[in-house]
Amino acid sequence: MTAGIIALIIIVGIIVLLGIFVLTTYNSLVSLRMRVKEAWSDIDVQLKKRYDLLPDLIETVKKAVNVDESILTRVTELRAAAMESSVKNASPEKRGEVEQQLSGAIRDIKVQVEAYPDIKSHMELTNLMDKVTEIEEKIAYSRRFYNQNVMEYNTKTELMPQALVAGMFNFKKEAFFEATAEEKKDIKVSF
Amino acid sequence: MTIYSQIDKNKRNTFIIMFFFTVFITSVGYFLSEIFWGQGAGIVGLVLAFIFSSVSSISSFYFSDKMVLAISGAKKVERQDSPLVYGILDNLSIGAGLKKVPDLYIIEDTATNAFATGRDPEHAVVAVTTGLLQKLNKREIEGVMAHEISHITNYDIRLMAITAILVGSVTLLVNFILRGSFSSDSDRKVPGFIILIGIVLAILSPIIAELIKLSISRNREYLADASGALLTRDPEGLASALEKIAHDHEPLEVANEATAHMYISNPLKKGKNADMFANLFNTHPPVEERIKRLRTM
Repeated sequence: MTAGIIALIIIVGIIVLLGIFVLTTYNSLVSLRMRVKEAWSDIDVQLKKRYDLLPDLIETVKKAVNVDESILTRVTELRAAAMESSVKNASPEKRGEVEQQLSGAIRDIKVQVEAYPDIKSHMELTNLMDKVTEIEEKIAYSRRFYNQNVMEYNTKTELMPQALVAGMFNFKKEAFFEATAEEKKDIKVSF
Repeated sequence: MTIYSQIDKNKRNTFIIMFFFTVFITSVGYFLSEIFWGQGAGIVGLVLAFIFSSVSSISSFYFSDKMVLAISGAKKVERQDSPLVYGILDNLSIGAGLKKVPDLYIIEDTATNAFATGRDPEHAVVAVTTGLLQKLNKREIEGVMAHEISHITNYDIRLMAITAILVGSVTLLVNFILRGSFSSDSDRKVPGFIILIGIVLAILSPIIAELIKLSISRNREYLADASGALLTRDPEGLASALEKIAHDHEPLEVANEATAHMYISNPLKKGKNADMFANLFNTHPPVEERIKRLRTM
């Protein structure tokens, strides 16, 4: 009789502990996934600012200096492609590919413009170039924050025993955005 | 120790310091009134001191950052007056996931130094000297700012500000009384009760020392260096900033024993303070070691 009650208490205890574990893991997965989504919308904001700035830049470059027409059309095309995948809500991986090409093309313009001898006299152009650089920096930082959050979330969905809970409630791995190999590694600052 | 356990530890230690400050002042109030107002009066002193210490402890939770800024003579800078530094702060806040970009404060001094303060990341401030902004380049300033942003996200700022105000004020008081009561100046008349307080405080000072150690650990600086470097992906920026700061031997006038531990590098430099308590606060890890660790990252 008493042995039965003890066994019952132990079983109930184990079930309660399991329930607590599942609940806390579920909650932390939800909040980590939420942070990934928030970080993604931060990137989106910066990318949109860059789309807005580019037509201005191209126009001013055309007026002020003589650069390869082909580079300018390439930026225009890539911008259109990037905006299209943004509207379509493409995956971070897909968007990353286009955005990376766009960044490369913008860099090409910058190299050519900066090679121009009297570039300092074109105030409007240098101002715009500074703005573009500023946004590129912001994109880089929001990209790092996003990838760091993805890293954290993905690690949790993979590690045992949390992976069981993640599998049970169908938490899928999130995709990185323009991540370097180094950023995909789990770096921990610890002592 | 990871960043998350560091945050928990900082919050816990802040509470411990507020608790001990209240206990300390309340018991000093009790003993002093027992001695000077006669027996039985202790309870009145106890109640008064308890009210005083709990009010100051709770208000220091909300206002210690402002007091620290006032003590350091730091003035707020508007966005349009320093677009470059605010630009850096904007970027780093995005990278660290801060909801609000910290305000920038300037200390008019040619010394090179910086600190961060506030009670949480939503009420955070970064203060730098004009000397630092003049002598460091953009990359180095970014390294320093990333170090300070890490102090903000780790909640170091809360603990450090509370320590500066609560433990700092007790320490300055103890220092003042000890210097007065044990002074070798024979022509200065020191009242007997001051000597008595001095003796009591001298006995209690090991407890104060323990409290200071809660807030100051070498690991805190190393951790902020490391997570700052992780934020900028550029350990060399902070390393070369620290090198410049280390070679600059100018002391920062507005810093004192109570606030020294908040700065990125010891602002008092050598030789200014030889007091027994001053050294407790001066536990910055050697800059050479910090630079070495950053360069091997």
